[in-house]
Amino acid sequence: MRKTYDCAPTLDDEGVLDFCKRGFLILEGVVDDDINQRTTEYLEEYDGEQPTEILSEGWFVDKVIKCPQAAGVIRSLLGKEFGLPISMSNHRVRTPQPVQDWHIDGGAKYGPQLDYLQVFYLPLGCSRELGPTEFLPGSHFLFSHRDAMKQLGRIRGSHHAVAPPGSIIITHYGIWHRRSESSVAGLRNALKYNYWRRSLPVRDWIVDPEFDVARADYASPEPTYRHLFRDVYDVAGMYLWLRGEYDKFHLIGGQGWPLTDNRNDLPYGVPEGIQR
Amino acid sequence: MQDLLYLNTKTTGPTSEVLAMRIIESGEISDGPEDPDNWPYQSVLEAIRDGWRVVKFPELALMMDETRTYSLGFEFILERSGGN
Repeated sequence: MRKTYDCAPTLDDEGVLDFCKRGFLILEGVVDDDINQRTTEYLEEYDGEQPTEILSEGWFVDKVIKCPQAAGVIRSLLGKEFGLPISMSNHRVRTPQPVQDWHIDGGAKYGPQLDYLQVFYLPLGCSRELGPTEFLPGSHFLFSHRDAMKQLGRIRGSHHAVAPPGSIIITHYGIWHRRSESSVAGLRNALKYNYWRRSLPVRDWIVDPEFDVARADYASPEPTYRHLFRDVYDVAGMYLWLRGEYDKFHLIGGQGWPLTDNRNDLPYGVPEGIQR
Repeated sequence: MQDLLYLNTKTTGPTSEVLAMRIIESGEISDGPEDPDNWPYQSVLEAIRDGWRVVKFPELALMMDETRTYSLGFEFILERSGGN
């Protein structure tokens, strides 16, 4: 019997769209200090790379895995009765350490679908000096063999996930990331686990009555690392997939939907039959 | 000893903005400064003017698929003779 969970969604249409654009979302300090402390002490005892036993601890499941702010985001993106993590990894690092190579985790699939999310919990937080995970916004839309990006170094627009204790980072599984270089002596725990979709995608997050799929802004922040408007197409496709309407996704090209523009009428090419 | 410079640019043009860099000098790998404004070169042309020679141009065949974006920008690899 799978362990699933349900709760109220916390993202609205713009929140979902923003996740589609960036491929990650950081919830700062959402876990209480006593739980952060208890987790840290637990990881002193279970200091291996896969402390899955922690998923049998009720206090951890209730306060971290089902943390309302994080679970609300998971519910928004993966739908009702989503599957809870069944394994736990810990990127436990004694610093200072050199920078890692850029990579995507094994098994990442390319495309608009979102059937699982990879989540990081930082009980101790992470300063820039302790080498936070560095993410490349929008890189879940860049197709690459995971071993064909090892020559890349500094990338314009990358984001160092500096965060206070008790922070949770929710990511698209295919996001490009690496551990950044650390410069001070310390300890970094980064628990990593996955949630799973158990229901068909549907627009059952917080529906904003003012949101208009025909006029929404699908453009990603620069640099997008893609040719002109490809970012717009990618984001619109993923957003429609999450609504369960990817079968209606069609691009006429030119200046038609989903491009954002200063128009005096609806854009041409809005998918027929879509709920606006 | 051969030094290598990896520059990923926004377009194929030699004056295009650099999106990513890594440098190998005297056998040491460096990502360069964290702030892109402080990277040693802001374009391939700047690197050429500083004595670097292009040894590999971007693989344009990868860019001919309009349904996918392959990897990160357009990769130039440059080299120059370094120290011992």
